[in-house]
Amino acid sequence: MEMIYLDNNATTVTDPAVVDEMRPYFSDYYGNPSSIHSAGSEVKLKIEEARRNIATRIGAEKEEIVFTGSGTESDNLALRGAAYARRAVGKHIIVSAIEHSAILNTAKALQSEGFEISYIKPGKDGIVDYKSLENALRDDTVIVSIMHVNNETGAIQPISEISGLLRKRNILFHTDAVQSTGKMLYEVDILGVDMLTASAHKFHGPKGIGFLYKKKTVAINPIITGGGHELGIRPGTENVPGIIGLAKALDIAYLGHSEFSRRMTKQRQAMLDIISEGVGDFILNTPIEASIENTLNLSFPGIESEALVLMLSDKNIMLSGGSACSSSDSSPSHVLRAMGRNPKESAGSLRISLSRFNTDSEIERAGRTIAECVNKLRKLSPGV
Amino acid sequence: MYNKKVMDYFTNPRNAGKMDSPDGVGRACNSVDGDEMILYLKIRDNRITEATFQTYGCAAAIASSSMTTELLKNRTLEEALSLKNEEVVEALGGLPPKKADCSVLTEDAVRSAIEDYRKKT
Repeated sequence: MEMIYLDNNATTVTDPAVVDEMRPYFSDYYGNPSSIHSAGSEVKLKIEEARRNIATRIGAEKEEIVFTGSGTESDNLALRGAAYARRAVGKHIIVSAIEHSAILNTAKALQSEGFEISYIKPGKDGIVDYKSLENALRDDTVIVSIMHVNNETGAIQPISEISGLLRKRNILFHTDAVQSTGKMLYEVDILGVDMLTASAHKFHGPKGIGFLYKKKTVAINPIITGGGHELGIRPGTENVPGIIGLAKALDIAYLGHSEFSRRMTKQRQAMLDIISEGVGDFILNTPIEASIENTLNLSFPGIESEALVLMLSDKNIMLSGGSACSSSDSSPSHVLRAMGRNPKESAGSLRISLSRFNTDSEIERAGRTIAECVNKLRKLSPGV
Repeated sequence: MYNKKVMDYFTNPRNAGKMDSPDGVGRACNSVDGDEMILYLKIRDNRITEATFQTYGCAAAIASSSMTTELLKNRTLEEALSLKNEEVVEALGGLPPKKADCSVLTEDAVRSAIEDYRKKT
């Protein structure tokens, strides 16, 4: 049986067209963009062109795109960079309880350095209530970081509403848009954010490249020191093939967005229908009407996701329980716990994340196999 | 992550399911991760003739439960009580370090099932 890959919120296959675009930048155009000779300057032109294209797609200016090595690095740069730059103004930071560990653990580290962190909980639907954010605001709040789309449930967060709330105050707003970039069309001005994190490998670009959008009026400190690359905010020789690949992947994603949206909506519904038919009781953790169309998160009380994921992997179907980073240990998802699911409901979650490379027949086979495995594991279990 | 034997005992578990009219039933819980195991025993002349299980837990917990039921068969109750978690792990060809604790349920379940049998008789 051919592999069916349904773990696209963890990472995606690099689009062959992206690989083609990148290839010359390994072997032909390998000059260092900082060099003044033509082998360097011609590459510099190419990465600046890529930067401009990326900026245009998200409604930003060229100077507002800072390339980094990953979404995690962008999150670190945004949160730490802004916290250090604003230390004299205030020490209070607000994040949501459902952030990726790149934000949660950075916030924790900042706490040990003397910053104070407040965590905003989502409702049962996995959506952060911006009213509860209003209650958490303090005079010394300097940064708020709320993700655009949650990686486990796919829930879209009310970023524009939150930025409206923050606009009158002198508070920086960062959003981790790792799960929305390339899957949703957005403009930074409409989102109203000061900083935004994105990562290429979540939308068929290469791994090891991301960016931080940073409004040019916002000053942050670099978190590593070195040369003057990326406006001095992120020193280090540019990942040229990565930058070229990121820009190409974003181009493809924007051009194909309406087809992506239509296809994902249809395939996700088909998956949900097949599972509903095959499995008696389960909990839907994805707010279907307010979520990214490729993501479906379900809880199957009575079984543990690790067992379900491995049984499916044995049948060559790749999925994850909760988020990829937590599959190595069996601690229940912090996202589902924050949404008020009990430990056993959180422990039995399955995240199905589709991509435009999935076919209808894959959805059908995977859906039926998921139901089969859930029923098999439930028979093994002492009962809910 | 798991070796072939563990995957085999997990995906094709031997002696899985509830037993009709068992002579002893034992239940064990792992308070840390919420894993749960029920062990069913048939006992003739102080010897285990059949053992089945139901387990809620990860692949390691399920494979360990299944291996335990195989190791219990034909043992006297005294021999069964001396079955150590390490023996189950060894019979499975080892578990990843992080998962070694997932097999501890089985010792408790054996003790509890034999206690249940002794109470009844």
